[in-house]
Amino acid sequence: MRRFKTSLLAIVVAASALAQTASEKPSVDVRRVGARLACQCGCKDSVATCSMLECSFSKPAKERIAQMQAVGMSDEQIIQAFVRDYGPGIYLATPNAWGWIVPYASVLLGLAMIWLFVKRFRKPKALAEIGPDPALEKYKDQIEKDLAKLE
Amino acid sequence: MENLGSLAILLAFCVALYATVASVIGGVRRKPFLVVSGQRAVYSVWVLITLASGILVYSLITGDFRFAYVAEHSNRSMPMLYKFAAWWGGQEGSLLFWSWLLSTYAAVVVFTNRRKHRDMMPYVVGVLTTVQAFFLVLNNFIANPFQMLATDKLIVAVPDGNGLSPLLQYPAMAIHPPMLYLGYVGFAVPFAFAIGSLITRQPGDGWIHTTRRWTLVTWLFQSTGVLLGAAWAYHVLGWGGYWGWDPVENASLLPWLSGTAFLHSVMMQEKKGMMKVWNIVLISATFFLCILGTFMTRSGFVESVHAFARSDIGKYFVTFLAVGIAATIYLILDRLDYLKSEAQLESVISRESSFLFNNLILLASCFAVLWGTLFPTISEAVSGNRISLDAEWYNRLMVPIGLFLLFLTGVGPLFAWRRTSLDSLRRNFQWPGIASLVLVGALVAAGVRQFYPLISFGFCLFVALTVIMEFYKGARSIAAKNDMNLLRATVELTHRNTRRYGGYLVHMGIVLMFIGFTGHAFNQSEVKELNKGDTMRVGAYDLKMVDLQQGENENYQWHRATMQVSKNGDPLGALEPEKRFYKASRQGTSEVGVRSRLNEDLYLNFGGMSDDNQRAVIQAYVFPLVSWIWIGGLVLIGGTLVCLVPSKIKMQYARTEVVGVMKKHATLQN
Amino acid sequence: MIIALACVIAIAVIAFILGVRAKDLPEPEPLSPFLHLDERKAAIYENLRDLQFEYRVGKLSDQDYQSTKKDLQRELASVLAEVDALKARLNGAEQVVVQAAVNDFVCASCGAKFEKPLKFCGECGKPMKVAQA
Repeated sequence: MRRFKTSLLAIVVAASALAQTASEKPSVDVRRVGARLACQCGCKDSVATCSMLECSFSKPAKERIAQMQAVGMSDEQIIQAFVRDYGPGIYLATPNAWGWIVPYASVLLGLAMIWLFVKRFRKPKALAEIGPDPALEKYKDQIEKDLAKLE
Repeated sequence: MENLGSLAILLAFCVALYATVASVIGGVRRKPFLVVSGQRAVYSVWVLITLASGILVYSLITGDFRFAYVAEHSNRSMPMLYKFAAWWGGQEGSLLFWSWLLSTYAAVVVFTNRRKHRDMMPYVVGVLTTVQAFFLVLNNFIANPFQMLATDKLIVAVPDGNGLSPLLQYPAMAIHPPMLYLGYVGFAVPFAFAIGSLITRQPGDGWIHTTRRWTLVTWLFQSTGVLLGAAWAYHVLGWGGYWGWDPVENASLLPWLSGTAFLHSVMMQEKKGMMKVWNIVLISATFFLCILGTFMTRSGFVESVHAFARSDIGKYFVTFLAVGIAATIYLILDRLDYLKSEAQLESVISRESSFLFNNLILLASCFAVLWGTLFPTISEAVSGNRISLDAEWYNRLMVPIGLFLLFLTGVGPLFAWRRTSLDSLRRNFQWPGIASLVLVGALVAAGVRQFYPLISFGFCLFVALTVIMEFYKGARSIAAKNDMNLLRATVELTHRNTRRYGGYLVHMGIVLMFIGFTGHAFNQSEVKELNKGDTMRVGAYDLKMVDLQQGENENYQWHRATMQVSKNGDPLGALEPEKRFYKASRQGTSEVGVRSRLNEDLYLNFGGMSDDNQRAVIQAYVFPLVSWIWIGGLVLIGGTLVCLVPSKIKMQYARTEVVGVMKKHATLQN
Repeated sequence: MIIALACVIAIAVIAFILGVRAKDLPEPEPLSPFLHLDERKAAIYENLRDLQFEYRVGKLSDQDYQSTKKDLQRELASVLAEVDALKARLNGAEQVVVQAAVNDFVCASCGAKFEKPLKFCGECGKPMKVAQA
């Protein structure tokens, strides 16, 4: 399950990220930091997910992240360095709990609605099983005749 | 010229307003003259918008660079097809295109129903022309395509235009927006009929019968549009994916999901007279999601709330959406008594319940996608921090939902209407269930250990078997009865009830597409800088660069690598990935080299030149099973077309009423 | 030139929209008051046909088939009854005034009332003697 997810993630992120790096795939570390920085090339993706080829922003940004990591800067420090250079608008927060809760809550709400619907429209069994229906008897011949025409 | 175009859309706006007023008053007061006049206004709007569009297209094709729109989206060196496609290539033009499609649809609706639905039609026309008037407001006052370039009050032309975005200069992309728009706009028609029927309290489900075909055709366009978008991303963007959960992609998926839910739940109303409120809600939601989709792609809303505040057009869309949704909700609440359900649920284990779950899952996925699309904007508005939701977030959420939907696709049709006993379930589930378990077991034995792909393949086989069994059982029965061979009996069976068996084909298409999606889990990729003569390896393929060329034409510069492909020593021919750089717009694109086979695609992308400009960066991917997505898409389209063929067996006894009664009724009315 | 063309277009559009003559009005479509009932009837027959087919093909157990068939027939009967009621109301609208008191057809043996004359009682099945034709 995890491997599938990671491979799904990896291919989408890697595929898009790969498109701009010259010779190397960006490492997992670069992607992790890149995902927290908004690409400034005009797309609405992060530095890690910008799918533009030879992007003027995300490509050098990734190289810079890699260099900073090489000298041992932490994720926080790298992000702060970018914020200092490009302003606070570049920072992308991690999805908080709301991002997850709301879709699942909607499923639960839907289930509750189905339950209410079933409860409201469930036919009482007794009603369905009562004996011969006078109306049915009356039209039985006509129905049988029409049914015979069906096929 | 430009004045004539401006006049045409301004006049169209006035005429559309007149059409709304005349139709509604004509409907309320029962004045046939006004109603007919309103209908003629609809035709006039079409003529006027066609005239305006014709002028725009003419100036695009002749390269009249006095037009701001032409200068922005066309240039001299573009091929004719893309000059025409520039009609919908930019903001102003695409909104005019929207208007034109809507006016075309409205004219067709008015013409085909000119003698039908006397009570309902004025309101249908009223709804359609209201939407039309809204878009004409945008065409006239917000995004006018007939703005001219001027210096000091003097209209001037620029020598050459910027050209259509090179990413859009691709055949599939030229027809992708029209397909999507045909879908977006088309849902306005069933919506208008639903509202018309609600206002006039029509007895029966007239609006559903009238718009059944229409909804299907619209859904077909929408599906084709979404698929073309995926194919375009795969072949042009060069990142090897077909779906990136981009807001614009999501915008096209949203009405597709709710429209699919509508196509299913409408059966509940036709078969049992249940869920009438729900169906109105669904078709309204679909229509408003279409408007929302247009809004999201046209206003910059999803990029940032700040971009939204800058763009004028957003406010108009928000106002229209707010007023439209409020009016629809009011109307539904006001007519709840008329929408009362006619029947009840006999049993919880029944087709009815499976439809409920189908609706739940489709709407939940619709909501999840909507939430994911809007969440960054919402969180920015609330907390000030922008949040990134990447593809991983969507995949984590949507993969289980998608698999459950796949499961329901197979299970739903196995439940009988009203009630299904365990005995019936056993008859239908036994063999497909056992076969899928065997398949999963075999896959595990073959070394596949990932959870989701195992589940997915299992469900795919299950659904495919149920669909095949459905056809086989039916055909066998017909073959035995009418003494035909099985193939002819299958055709006969499908022809007898095209809606049902066309629907099964659509399900089959979905299964094939899921096979393709599942292949995603087994992708492989490799990147290398290569010079002439160098080799690389991806999966089982050996690649050798035999040539590296560059050149330019008047539209773009290009680099092209010729890659010799071989697998286990067998030569398989050459692929030529190419990188283009469009001069006018200063943008690069990829022409990927793809070797498509049923089991896997070899996908080569020319990533660019290395820093020292000596070697080419080649990205090589192996995408297992990806072709099945396109095959499934074709099956889905074919199945929908089958649904559109009229069924062979007609209900003969539908109109068996006494003529005398009719006459008396007619005289009574007067 | 452009101005003239613009005027022509505007006038043509207005003339087309407002110049509706009496003969342009569409012939009203014969509207059956039974339309929605007919549609429901057709839907139920279709359901019945599907049910029969699924049963023959072996997708349904006997028990499911029988009880669903019964349900459908019952629904059909109620629609047919509605059709008859509507027929009687439309047909009888004039007669009702004349014979307001005697518009019930009562079975002599069981006392069941019907809205129209019957040869045999719909309840007990015995022959009915009906006064009016």
